[in-house]
Order: sequence, then structure tokens, then C-alpha cells
Amino acid sequence: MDKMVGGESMEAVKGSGISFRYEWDGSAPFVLDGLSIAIEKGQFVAILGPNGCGKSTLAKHLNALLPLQSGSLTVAGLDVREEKQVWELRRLCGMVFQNPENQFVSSVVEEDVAFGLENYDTPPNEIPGRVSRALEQVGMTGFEKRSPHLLSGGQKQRIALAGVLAMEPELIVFDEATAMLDPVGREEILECMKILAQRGKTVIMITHYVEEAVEADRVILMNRGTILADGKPQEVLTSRELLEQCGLSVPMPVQLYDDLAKLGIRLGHCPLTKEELVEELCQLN
Amino acid sequence: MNDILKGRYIPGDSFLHRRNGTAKLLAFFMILAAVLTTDSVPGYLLIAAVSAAAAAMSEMRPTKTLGQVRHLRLFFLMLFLMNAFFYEDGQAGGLVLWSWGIVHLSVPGMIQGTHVVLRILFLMVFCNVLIRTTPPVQITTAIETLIAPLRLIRVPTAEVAMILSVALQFIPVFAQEADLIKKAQTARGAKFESERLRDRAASVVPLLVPIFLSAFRRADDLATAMEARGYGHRQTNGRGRSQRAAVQLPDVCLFLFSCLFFLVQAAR
Ligand SMILES: Nc1ncnc2c1ncn2[C@@H]1O[C@H](COP(=O)(O)OP(=O)(O)O)[C@@H](O)[C@H]1O
Ligand SMILES: [Mg+2]
Repeated sequence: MDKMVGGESMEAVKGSGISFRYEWDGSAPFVLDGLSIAIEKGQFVAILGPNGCGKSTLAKHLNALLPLQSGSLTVAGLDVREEKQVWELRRLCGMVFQNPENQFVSSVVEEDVAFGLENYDTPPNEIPGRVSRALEQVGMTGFEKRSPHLLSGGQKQRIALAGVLAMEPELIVFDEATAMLDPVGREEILECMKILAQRGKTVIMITHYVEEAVEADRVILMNRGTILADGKPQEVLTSRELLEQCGLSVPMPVQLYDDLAKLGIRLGHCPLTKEELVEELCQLN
Repeated sequence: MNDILKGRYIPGDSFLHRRNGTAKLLAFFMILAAVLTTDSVPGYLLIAAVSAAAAAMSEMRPTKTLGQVRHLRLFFLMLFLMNAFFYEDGQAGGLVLWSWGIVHLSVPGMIQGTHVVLRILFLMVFCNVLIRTTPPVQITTAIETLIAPLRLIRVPTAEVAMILSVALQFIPVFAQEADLIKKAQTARGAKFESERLRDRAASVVPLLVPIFLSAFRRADDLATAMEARGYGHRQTNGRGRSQRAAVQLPDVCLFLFSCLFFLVQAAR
């Protein structure tokens, strides 16, 4: 896992031996337990794990919302412990959270998208251009004057994403950003993630839905503050044993593949998505 | 849900929408003073005329300016009755129609009650016009501008303004949530719609607890999201400068007119 090619500049995230607990009185459990992680620039990574395994805690380390208690962590080339760089770090590492409603600071879309830019003293004449470019990237052009509260869940979350993109970050962390959305909204956000990944941004998708992790290029399976497995979706998400160990179940197509195998029906190879499953089933006869 | 969302900013391009937030807020304060000093029929007619003008300038139907007054009819009735029955103490010499113990239904009381109700009604109209034509951030900026002198005594004016604006824009979220919880609890047998006051009061408590809990969670989430987007980076400078529109001649006129309105009312 420790790829040293190209040295530091190839890595969007590089951390090792990260331990963390919320209270310092010896009895509190370790929420992160000596975790090490490396993510290359431009990768589309899913961090998958059950509720309470420490995913959000890890995410909040990436842009120094939580202090590093032990170990080391570099994000976008910046050491998270360096206090002088905290603001630059937060600009380079954007974050979209679970509940879109609790991220808005304004009841007008364009003002909300500009919030980060204003915090960073962006020259006022640059703001409108960057806001409209950010809205365009998430497909929300034309919503500038609308109130975010009156939009659909997926649209709300895309506005929140636009607020992050306006700051031109290098990596974007989606902390369960789809968890409160309906299937349509979920699809919209997944689409945004894929487009961002195609454009060379580093995308970190945090989720407890196995079906979502399928979309990423790489899956990091987390349980109880450590990394349990790390690899391609085909490797990690087809392992019933690994997933069940952290209270997750394999995606439906894998389940079906296994069930069919028990009946003596062998598919060509194990499908991960519904589309792959349909393809495999069609090739049966 | 649409009910809840009434009485908030509606994007638009009317004359009042285009006015500078600070000018509007100042004009609002002058009108507020004017309304509070009114106590004659011609005075109320003038206010009615001004509120009709405000409705026209904001391209709202006059009935819309009343906003959620409908929901407050009980409150207005109470206000009126309190005044009607308790204004006179029986010694002051006003015409008392009916007495019972300390309760005196009097003509001056009824007149006073009418004044109070009319003033609050008109205040709500102007408040509605202000809120519907001014984005919260502009109200925040206006407040920030107006309290700027307090910086001299180390009041964090930008933060105060930010708190106000965030609080303002979370009101509909909470209202929506209250509505949802109310429905959930009605489904489980709470008696919000009961005729008996005791039932209704008892049903409010289980409503307040979840709303408070969720308010704390939301506040925590929002603080995290704001910090992640760089809030706090320019603590010393305050924020929102780019939102500050230049003051134009119509802004000044708006303010001068409101001052004139106040002087006319006060001098009567
Ligand atoms: N602010 C906090 N104070 C104390 N404990 C917390 C706090 N936030 C999370 N925890 C605990 O840390 C653990 C991991 O939480 P979290 O990182 O939010 O998990 P996940 O995002 O994977 O669901 C949980 O057991 C949770 O109870
Ligand atoms: Mg979480």
C-alpha cells in the first residue's frame, strides 16, 4: 500500500499511525486506532465502513477540523499540524457533509456559494464569475437567486458542493453526502463525483452503503478505527467474510452470484453492479 | 409547508428589491417610530396609504403584505380584550359600560385596544415587506453597518450580524421540523387540535424537547460546515463586504420619505 513513486507530490493524502480519542481521560476508547492511509492524487476512493467506525472522525482530520493527537498526516502537501497553513488546507480540501440543510449560511443560492470565497478575501469582482462557474460544474446554472431551502435534496447537496468547488480545491471529501437523499438525489451526487474524478480531482467518498462504494476506483474498508481491507471494488466488495466482519453485507449482485453458485449455476465472473449482473445473466445460455 | 415559508425573502426585481439594505432598514425604523406615535383616524389612513405604497413598490398584492396575520387572530383578540377590560381602573373617569370586581369594560379601553391592534398590524405589514424584499445577508450587512460604531467598544459586530442572519434563515427549517414532529406525535395520539387548553399545553412539551435537541445538532453541524469553508479566517475584517451595494439616490429618497412620514405623524 505504501507507494513511494514520485515522492510526496503524488500523494493527496498521506497519513500514518493516526490515533484519536474524543476525550483524553484514559478510559475513552480510541476512535481511530493507529490508522495509516495513502491516497494518490486524482484517485476516486471510497471509504466504506459501518456507522460509528470512525469515518467522519477521519474525515475531520483531513482538513484539521480535529487536531492530530498522534501519528502524522499530510493532505494536499500540507502538514495538518502546521497551524499557519490551516486555512490553505481547508481551501484545498473541500468537504460536503451529510445533511444539506445544515450547511447553508444564506437563503440565496449565489450568496451561499460565495460564502467560502468571501472568507478567503477573494476580490469582489472575481466572485460572480467563480460562483457561476461552480454552479455550472454541478449543473445548477439558473438557480442563482433561488432559496436553497426550496430545492430538492439532490439540488441542495449540489449547491453545497458548488460552494466547495468555488474555492477550487484539490480534493473533495463527501462525508455520507448521499445518506439523506432520495434515489434520484443520490444518483445526481454520484454523477457529480464521477465527473470531478474524471477532471482529475481527488474524490473521497465516505459511505456505509456497499452499493455506492462500487462506483469508486478503490475501496478502503474501515472498521473500529482501523483499515481492514484496501483494494479494487472487485476485490474488497466480493468478499462476504470481510464485509460481514464489519456488519455490512455484500452487494445484491454478489449475493445473487453466490446463491446461483450454490444451485450449481456458474456466472462468468462475479458482477458488482446491476448492469454487470444483467450482462452476465444474458450470457448464461 | 407553503404556509411556513410565507414571510421570508422572495427574490425579485421590484423598486424595493433594488434598494440598499441599510437604507431599507433605516426607513423601516423611521416607519416603526411613525406607526408607534399614531393615534388618530387620519393618522391610520396615512399609514394605510404608505403601506399600500410599500406593497406597490415591492410588487406584492396588498393582501400578501399581511403575511401570517391570520394565524395570530387569537392573539389580536386577546390584546383587544385585555385593553377593553383592564384599561380603566374605575376611578379615572372614562365611560365604563360594565364592571365586575376589578374588571371594567370601558370605552377608552376599547379605543386603546384598537390602537394597539392597529399598530401591531401595520408593524407586521412593514416588517413583511422588508423581509420579503431583502435577502437575509443584506439585512445582516445592514445591521453590521448600523452597529459598526460598537466596534470601538470591542463588540464583535461582524459575528453578531452573522449570528442574526443564520438565526433568521433557520427559522423556516425549525418551523418545518416542528410541523413534522407535530404530525408524527398527532399520529401517536397527541392532542394539538384539542379544544381543551390543558391538552394542548401538555402536548407542547414533547414537541419542544425534540426541537431543542435537533437545534443543537444542527448548530453543531453548521458550525463544522462553516469552519470547513474557511469561516474564522478573516475574523478581524468581518465578512460580506462584496454584498454591500452602493447607496444610490433612490435609497436616500426612500429614507428621507420615511423621515418625513415620521415627522408628519409625530407633529400631529
Ligand atoms: N464529538 C464527539 N464526542 C465524543 N464522541 C464522538 C464524537 N463524535 C463521534 N464520537 C464517537 O466516535 C465514534 C466514531 O464516530 P464517527 O467518526 O462519527 O463514525 P462514522 O462517521 O463512521 O459513523 C462513535 O462511537 C461516536 O460515538
Ligand atoms: Mg459519519
